[in-house]
Amino acid sequence: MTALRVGIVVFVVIVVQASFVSRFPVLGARGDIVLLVAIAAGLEGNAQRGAVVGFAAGLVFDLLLTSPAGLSALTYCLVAYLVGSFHASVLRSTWWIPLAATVMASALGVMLFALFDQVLGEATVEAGRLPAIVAVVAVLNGLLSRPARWAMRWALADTSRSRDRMFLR
Amino acid sequence: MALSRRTGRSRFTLFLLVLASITVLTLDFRESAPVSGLRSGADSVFSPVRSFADSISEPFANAWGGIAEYDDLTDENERLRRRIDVLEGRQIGDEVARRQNTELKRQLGIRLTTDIPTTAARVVSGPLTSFDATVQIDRGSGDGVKEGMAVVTDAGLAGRVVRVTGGRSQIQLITDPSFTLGIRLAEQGDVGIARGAGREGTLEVADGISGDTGVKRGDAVITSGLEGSAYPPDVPVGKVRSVGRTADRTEKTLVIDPAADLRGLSYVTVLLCDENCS
Repeated sequence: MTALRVGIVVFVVIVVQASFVSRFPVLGARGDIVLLVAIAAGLEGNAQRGAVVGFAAGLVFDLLLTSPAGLSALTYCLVAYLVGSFHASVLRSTWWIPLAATVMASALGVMLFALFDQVLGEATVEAGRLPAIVAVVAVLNGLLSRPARWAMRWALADTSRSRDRMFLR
Repeated sequence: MALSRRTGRSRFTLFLLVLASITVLTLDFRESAPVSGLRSGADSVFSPVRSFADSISEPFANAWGGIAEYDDLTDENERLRRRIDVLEGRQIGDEVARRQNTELKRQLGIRLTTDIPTTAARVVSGPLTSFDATVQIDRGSGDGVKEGMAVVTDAGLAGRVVRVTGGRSQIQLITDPSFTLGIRLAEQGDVGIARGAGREGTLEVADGISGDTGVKRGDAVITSGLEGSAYPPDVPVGKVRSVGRTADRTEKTLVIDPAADLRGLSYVTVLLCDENCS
């Protein structure tokens, strides 16, 4: 059931990315809300769940792109794992911590993707354009972080409850 | 204890996922069948939903483009008006030369690019991310479009078809780093291999141009159309932006500005010829 709900969220987000977000470039850069789903999974689930959702969302997204398949999957699973690990280490959560984590993780995700892209010899984006892309992705994902976390909270609901039950036992 | 076990398990999961990603990357680089099959399956699933969603977003995207790029569009409009005046002057002379060229080629039995059947298509969607170099057009397998076909604009080569579904196709632009094609210097006749340079929005020729060739900035570059090529000969590719030399200084390297305006693609033409278009 959880997998189905995660699948629905990923499907909807990819359609929104392809048909809406990508069509509204700012400063020549396009947002990346598929990365946001991975980050939200790390925040709402845990590092492990985040990595799995990030990998799955990235892999499906990769299949629609012409960049090497597996590149987004690798980037998103690493970012979601880091976010999940960071969030688990926070002792007292306040409203701005997930927001700041989303913004930072989005920036990290773009830079990581650009690095892997360069290592694989693709070099799709010139270095001068990277700051604009980082800024656009980070700001957009920061703005959408709350609805994305609601969506992932709904998608991972069973998991969280069963985990809570496990801790209560 | 439980916490360290959970951490260990999550690290092991991450390790497996990284391994899986690298495996998929390797398979994709080898153009393995499972990845191609998955890509085509994903296109079939997403394509109808995207068509519907695109039809909703299109008016807003057009309005956004008008607002966000207003200054650029004004400057471009001014520049294009001046260019039209220049080109109209040249057109008359070119028309006479083209007619003579066509007539001579017919007499010699050389296949003309204009003999290749084509289909006009509208660009319905741009790149999906800032790292993507593809566009989607509203023509698919039902219109005779197949993978590998060349896509041109009135100005020159724009890309090639990389994926096809029933009513849509994905076009890889010539500036994509994995795009390669055979080119010929229109004036000098030298043949080389050009690759998309991605980040710069240009193409690069790393070898094949002799060190003695007198190529200079502004020289025209066309498709080579060598036997077996997927691109017909003499399609304009672009103009030389800069000339360099290879490390051993025996050959020249070129940076080419595409003739087609790839940023503002609205309509393109697909050349319905997928094998040996030369």
